[in-house]
Amino acid sequence: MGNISYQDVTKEFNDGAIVAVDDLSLEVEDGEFLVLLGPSGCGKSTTLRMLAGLETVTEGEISIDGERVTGLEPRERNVAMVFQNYALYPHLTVEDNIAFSLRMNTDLDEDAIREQVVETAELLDIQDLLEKKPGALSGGQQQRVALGRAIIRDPSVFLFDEPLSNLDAKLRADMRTELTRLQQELGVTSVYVTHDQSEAMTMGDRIAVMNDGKLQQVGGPNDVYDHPANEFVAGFIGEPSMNFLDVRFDREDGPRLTTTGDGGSFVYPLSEAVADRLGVSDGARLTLGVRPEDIQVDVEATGASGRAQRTTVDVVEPMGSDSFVYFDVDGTVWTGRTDRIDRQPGSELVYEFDESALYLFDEDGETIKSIGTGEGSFHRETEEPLVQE
Amino acid sequence: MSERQATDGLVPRRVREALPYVVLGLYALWTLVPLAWMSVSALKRRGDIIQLSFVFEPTLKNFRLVFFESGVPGFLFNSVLVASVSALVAVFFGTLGGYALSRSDMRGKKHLAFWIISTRMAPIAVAIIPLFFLFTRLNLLGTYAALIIAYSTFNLPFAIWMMRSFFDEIPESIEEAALVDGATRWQAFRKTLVPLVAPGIGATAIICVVFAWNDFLFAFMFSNQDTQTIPVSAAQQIGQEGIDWGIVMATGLVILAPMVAFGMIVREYLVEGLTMGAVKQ
Repeated sequence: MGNISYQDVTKEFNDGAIVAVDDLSLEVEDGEFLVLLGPSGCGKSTTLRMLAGLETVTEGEISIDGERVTGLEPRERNVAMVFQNYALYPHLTVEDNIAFSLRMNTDLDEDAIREQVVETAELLDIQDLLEKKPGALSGGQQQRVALGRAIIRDPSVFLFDEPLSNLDAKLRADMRTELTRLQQELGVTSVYVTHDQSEAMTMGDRIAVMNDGKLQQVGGPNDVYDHPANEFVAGFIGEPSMNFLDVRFDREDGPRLTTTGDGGSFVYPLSEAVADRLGVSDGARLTLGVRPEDIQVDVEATGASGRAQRTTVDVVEPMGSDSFVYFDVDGTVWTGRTDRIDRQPGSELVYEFDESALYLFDEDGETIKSIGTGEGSFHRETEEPLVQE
Repeated sequence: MSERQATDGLVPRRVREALPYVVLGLYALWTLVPLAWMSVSALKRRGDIIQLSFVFEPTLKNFRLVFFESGVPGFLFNSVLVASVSALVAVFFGTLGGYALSRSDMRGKKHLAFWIISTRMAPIAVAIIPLFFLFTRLNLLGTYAALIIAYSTFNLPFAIWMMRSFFDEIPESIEEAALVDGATRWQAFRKTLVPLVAPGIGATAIICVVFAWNDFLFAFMFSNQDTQTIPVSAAQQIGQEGIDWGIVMATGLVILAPMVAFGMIVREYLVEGLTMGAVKQ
């Protein structure tokens, strides 16, 4: 089937004025579902399009199944692609849309093609639409036709370029499940581009996070969530996103983190055990991070840990199952995800979060400590980087 | 809001609603009266023509003369040949050029595009003398080729620009899908893009045909007795020894009728092409 390998791939536009992808190296295993995740303009689509052959590679090599494809035409790569706008051929019926690649690539006679088209259509539950033109279909149906067009090829690689972003929320969730099911059924290596982290978390075997053309981290959904390689990944993954605060690390009078903002009151005592393993010098400037769901509210203000903080409520958003509470922490607004609470804006709130839930990043944004207090939580202790080459 | 209503109030609603009809009505009169005059005159005998009267005995004699006792049928053939071949050439290259201009990523694309259309900005008269010399040297004067070359080159920039805007309307992902699906660039162009811009190709062809069909100057300069087109022959009917207006008018109708019929047949096509808008996907 198809494993994919990017080796030191760089893509420049406008004679190097824009570096869309910067020295990217990445391996995708046979049958794996890899999600390329990042904000718009991060180079993830370009990465995918280079694999499809729709963009040239400025430097580096791409291979599929051990074969160098860098200079090959798209049609010579045996990949199938689903586009964001579906890119169906408007003048052809659904049947002809799905059959297009067979007519281009194979010598099958019309009966055999018809048979395969019907089979594919049944798999996607669109057998009743075969005579229609794409313009007469709903967004979800068009999406299925686009999938059918990709599946029928039996390609070595599926490429998805934000295929669900034009669908409404309900349909998107359904299609997500269906796509995952299909991919598992067919077992075809897939690369899926999205900016939607919930799509990435639910669908990917592994997630490759990109920003500014650079690969930030590759790992399983929970790895990337629990142990982000840097501040960008930590902030990008998770909804609502992680809360950050600029702090200073002090060892005198017991290790603690103190806000660097003027007139701030945030002080967070650390245990000696944790402080020792950070590998950070006294007085270092760090960024503290904590996920909204790790924040406990309405704790006793004088708890034994000494980590409870007082603040005022900005606003409470009821979400049904739980509530988002926004509050001020030394000039920045933090979010807490809590059980249902009802609180007036401006009222007092006492919150705290456990030392194990604490994330710390250095001045370059590299992670010093991620969730937990075990091995793998202290990034300066582990020799091997979490970014898998 | 109230301010705007006050301004609106300055022109009474009725006048505002009627105004377009009045203007368009006047325009229709301006356009149609000469045509009506021509049609009526073509049916009159020689003696009736100078009378400004609608009461006369209609006759088809003028048409009989035009069709059976003059060179007009041959000139009509010349016109059809020259107009259609030159339109084909212009549309063929215009489609290729428009596609390239729409899709390629080269530097200075805008300048190139402007330069192409700027060649169309010069009046025909400017091009006539150089072309005349060129055709003389190449021994092309008086041939169909001269007219076809002249019309094609004059229509080509326009065809390129029109086709370019049609290609711009079509999302690039459609041809990318075809490329990934196993098509070569040429196949992707032919099988997915050309069908989608077909209305545009039609509209461009119509405009090219109309230009060539109506042209007088090029035809007058570059054709001879055998290759002259019908507008030239019509003009030559206005000779030194008296003018038979009935025949001139009948010839005028013969020039006009095919274009009107053509226009009616392709009207919807033309509108679809010129207002193609986004391709529904």
